[in-house]
Amino acid sequence: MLRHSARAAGAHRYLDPAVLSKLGNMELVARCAVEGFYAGLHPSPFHGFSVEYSDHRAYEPGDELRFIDWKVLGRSDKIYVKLFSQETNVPVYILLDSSNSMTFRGEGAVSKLEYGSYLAAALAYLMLGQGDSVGLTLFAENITTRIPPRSRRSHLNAVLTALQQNQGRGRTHLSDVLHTVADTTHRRGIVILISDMLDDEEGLAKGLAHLRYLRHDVILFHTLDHQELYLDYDGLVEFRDLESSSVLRTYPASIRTTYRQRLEEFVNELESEAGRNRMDYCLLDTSEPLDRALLSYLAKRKRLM
Amino acid sequence: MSFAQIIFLLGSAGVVGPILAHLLARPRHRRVPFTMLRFLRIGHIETQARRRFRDFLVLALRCLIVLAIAAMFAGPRFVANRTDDEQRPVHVLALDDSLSMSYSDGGDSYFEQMSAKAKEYVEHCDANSVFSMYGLASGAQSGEVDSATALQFLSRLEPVPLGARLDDVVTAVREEATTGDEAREVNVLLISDFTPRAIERFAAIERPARAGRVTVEVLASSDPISNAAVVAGSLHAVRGGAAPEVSATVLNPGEVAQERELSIMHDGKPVASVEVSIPPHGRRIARVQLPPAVVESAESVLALELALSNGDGLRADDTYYLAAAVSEVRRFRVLVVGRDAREAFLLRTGIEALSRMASSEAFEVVSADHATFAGTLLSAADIVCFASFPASIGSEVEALAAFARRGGRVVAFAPADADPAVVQALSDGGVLPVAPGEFQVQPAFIAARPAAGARGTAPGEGDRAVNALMNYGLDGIILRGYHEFTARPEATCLWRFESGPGFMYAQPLGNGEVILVNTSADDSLGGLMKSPAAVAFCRFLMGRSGETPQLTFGVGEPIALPASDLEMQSPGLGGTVLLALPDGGTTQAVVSKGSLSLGGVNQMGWLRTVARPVRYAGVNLEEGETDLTKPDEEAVRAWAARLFVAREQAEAPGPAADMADKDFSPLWRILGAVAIGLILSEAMITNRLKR
Repeated sequence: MLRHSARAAGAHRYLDPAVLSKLGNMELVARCAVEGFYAGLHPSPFHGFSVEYSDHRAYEPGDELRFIDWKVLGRSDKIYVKLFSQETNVPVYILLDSSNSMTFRGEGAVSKLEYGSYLAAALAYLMLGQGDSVGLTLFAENITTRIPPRSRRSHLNAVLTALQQNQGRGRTHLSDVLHTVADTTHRRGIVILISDMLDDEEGLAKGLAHLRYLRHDVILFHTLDHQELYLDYDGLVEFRDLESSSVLRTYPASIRTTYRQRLEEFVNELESEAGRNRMDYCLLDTSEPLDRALLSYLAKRKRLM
Repeated sequence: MSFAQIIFLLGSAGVVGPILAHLLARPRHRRVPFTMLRFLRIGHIETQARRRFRDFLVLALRCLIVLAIAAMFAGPRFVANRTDDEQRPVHVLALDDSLSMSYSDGGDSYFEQMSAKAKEYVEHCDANSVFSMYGLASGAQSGEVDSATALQFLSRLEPVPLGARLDDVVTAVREEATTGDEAREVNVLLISDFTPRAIERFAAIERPARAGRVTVEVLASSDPISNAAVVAGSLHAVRGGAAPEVSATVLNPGEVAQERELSIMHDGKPVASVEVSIPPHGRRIARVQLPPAVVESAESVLALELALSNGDGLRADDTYYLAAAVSEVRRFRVLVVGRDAREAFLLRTGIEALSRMASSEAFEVVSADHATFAGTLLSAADIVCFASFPASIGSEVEALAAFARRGGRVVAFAPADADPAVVQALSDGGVLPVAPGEFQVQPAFIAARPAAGARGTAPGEGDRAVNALMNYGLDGIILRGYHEFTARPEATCLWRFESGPGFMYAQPLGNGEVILVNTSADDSLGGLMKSPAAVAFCRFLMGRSGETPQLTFGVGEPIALPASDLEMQSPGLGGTVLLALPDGGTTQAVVSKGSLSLGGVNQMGWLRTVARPVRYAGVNLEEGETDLTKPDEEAVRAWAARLFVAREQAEAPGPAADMADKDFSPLWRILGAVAIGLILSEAMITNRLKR
C-alpha cells in the first residue's frame, strides 16, 4: 500500500507541467504523462479493455451467425453477438489552438500552448495505446496543420513531431476553424478542443453546435494560465494584448475583483453552453497537473463504450 | 484683507513643490503581455477616473496646505472696504455724568461746564465728523451720530447717582482702531472731575487703546472744595421707654470746615435737629433724639430724612434716606426652670426687664420648678433657661436635644452643686457643651471682654449685646467659684474668667444653640443677676442684638424688606407688589417667604410700596462718590496718555504683536486650524482613495 502510494506520488510528478517542460522531447512527455497517470490510478478503470474484443450486444435479425457468442448462449440462453475493437474504435480529433494568445505564459513554467501541446501529446499517446485513431489539427486564424486520424502506433510520431514544431502565431478565430473541421470530417468521433476560447462567444457557440449537429462528441479543454484566472499582479502594470497589441495600464489590485467576476461569468457561460449542447467542459489551470484533463477524457471515452 | 508681513506670502511659491511632485512622481510600471484585456477594461475605466480624481484632490490639498501656511505667517487681517461713512473722522466723547459733577463753587456746576465744553467741541469739529457719545456714570451711549444728534444727546444727559466708568469707552475706541481702516481718525474727548473713586476705576483699565487726538479736560474748582455729605444713619431704642435716637455719620471730604445743621425730617417736616461741625477731611457722628410721638405715629416703618442745611457746593449728598422697621416686635416664650421660685426669681426678673426695654422683642416668661418640669413643656417655649438642673432631666435629654435642633435655645446655669452625673448625661446627649468637672471654690473675676473667636469680640463690631455687656463692666463681677469643665470639641468658649477657665460656653445644635454659664444664676458673692449688667446679660443670653432693623440700601444694591404681612395677602407661592420709585416711576417686587425682594435701584430717595401696608426703603449714594478731592492734573494726563496711545506713537505692528492682539488672532488662528485640518485630511484621503 505504502509502496503503491509512494509510486503513485512519484509518478504524479510526471503530470506536472513544470516537470514535463524539462523533458524537452514530446514523445518523452507523452509517455511520462500517460505512464504517470496510469501509475497513479488504482486500479485501472479499463480492466478488460481489449483491442481485439471489446463488447457484446444483443442479436438482431440480419447479424452474421459467426459472430454469435455461443458460450454466452450456452450459459444464459440469450443470444449475443461479439463486438470487435474495430467497431468500438472512434476517431479522436484533437484541435489545438495555436494562436498568439496561447503563447501567454504568466509566472508559471509553461505557456498555454506548451501545456496544450503536452496534453495533446499525452492524449494521442493514450488513445493510440488503446487502439483509437488520433488526428491533430493545429490552428489559429485558420488551420495550419492537419493530420488525419490514424490508429497505427507509428502515427504517434507524426503527431508528436507536429506538436514539437508548432509555434504560436496569428489571432484566434475559433468559429471558422470549427466549421471547417465539421465540414471536412467525414466520420463521427470525439473532438477535443484545446484552447483558451478567447474568441467571439457567439461564433464559438455556433461552431461547437455545428460539430454537435454532426453528432461528434466534443470535449472542451478550456486552458487558461493561473494569472489569467486570478490576476495576481501587484503595482502598476501595462498589459499588452498578445494578438491585438492594444495596451492598458492599470493597477490590477484595484480591478481584480471586477476582472474575476467577469471571467467567472465568461467561464460559467461557456460551461452552460457546453452543458446545453451535451459537451464536456473542463477548465484547466496551466499550473496544475494534467491528470484531471486525462481523467476527463477517459471518462468521456468510457461513456462511449 | 491685508497682511502684516506680506513677505511671507512668497512662501506661496512653495506650491510648486507639490505640483512638481505630482508631475514627476509617475509610478513605475512593468509591461506584461496579456490576453484578457477585454475583461480588464471594464474595471479599469471605473478606477482610472477615480484615481485621477484622487490624484487631483491630493494635489489640491497639498497646494492649499502650502498656501494656508504661507498666509498664516503673513499675518492676515480682514479689512472691510471703507464706505464713505467710514472715511469720516470719529470723535468719542466720554462725559462724566456722575453725581459729583453737580458740584458748584458758586458758578456753573461741573456738569454745566462739561456740557458747554462738549458742545463747543462738537460744534468746532469738521462737518463730516461722526460722534460717539458716552455717559460714564449712566452708561448712556449714542452710537455713531452726526453733530446735531450729538448735541441732542448732550441736552438729555443728567447727573446720576452712579459711579463713572470708562470701560465701555476704551473698548469702543480699541475696536474702532483695530477693525476699522488704519487711516480712519479716532479722537477722544474725556471730561470728568476725576474724583478719587473715579480715578480708582479708570486706573483699573490696563490694556490701552489706540486713538488719534486725545483731549482730557479735568474739571476742578479753583476755590477750595466745600462739601459735606451724610453717608450713614441709624435709628435706635425705638420701644421700651427710652427715647428713640437717630445717629448720622457726616463726612467732610472737602477743604472747608463745615458748620451745618442736621435736621431729621419726617413726612416733610423737621422733627429734630442738631448742629454739626466737621473739619476739613473729617467725619462726625451726630446723635439726635426723636420725639417718641414720631415713632408711635409710624405704622410699621419709620421713614426719616437726615438732611444737612444748605452750605456747600453739592446738595445731592446732603440728604440721607433712613427707614427703620418699628412695629416688628418678635415675641419669644421663655421657660425658666429653677429649683424653686426663689432660685429662678432674679433670672426671671432680668428677662422681664429686658422685655420691657427691648425695641423689637418681647419675652413671655413662664416658670417651672424641678418637680413640675417635663419635656412636654418645651413644646410651648422658644427659649428654656435652667437656673439649675432638675434631677429628672436625664430622662428628658432627647426632648431637650430635639427642642434645640428645631431652633430652640437652651440656657443653663451650673451652680456649685450641679450633679456631675446629670451634667455627664446632658453632655453625652449632646445637649451641654461641656463635660463635668470639679467645682473650684475660689473667687473668680469675669474677663472684661469676650473670648477670642466668640461673636462680637470688638467694640463697634457686630453684636450690640456684647458691646452692652462690656459697657456695663462685667469684669467687676466676682463669682464664688466655678466648675473645671472640659469643653466638647464642637463647643465655643464665649467668655472666660480672668484666670483662664471658661465662664460661658456655646454649642450649636441643629437649628438652635445651647449656652452654659459656669456659675449659679444668682451668685451672691458678686450678684451676677443683681448687677447693673443683669439686663445686658439677659440680652446676651437671649441671643438677640436688639437692633432696630434698618431698611437702607445703596444705589444699585439688591433690596430685601421684611414683609410677612404682605405675604399673608398673597398666600401660598407669594406674589408681587407694586413699588414707587424715587423718580415717580413704578416697578414690581416679589414677595416670598416673608421678604420683599427687588434688584438694585439706580436712583436716590425713597422706594415704597404703593398699596398698604406701606413699606419704605431708603436708597442712598455710596460713600465716597462725592469725594471731590481735587486730582493731580498732570498725573491724570499722564495716565490718559498711557491709556489712549496715539497712532503715531504706537510701535509698528509685528507678527508677534499682531498675533498677541486678540483682534487679529481669529484670522491667523483660523488659517492655522485650516492648515492642520488639511494636513490631516490629506493623509486620510490619500489612504481612503488608494484603491
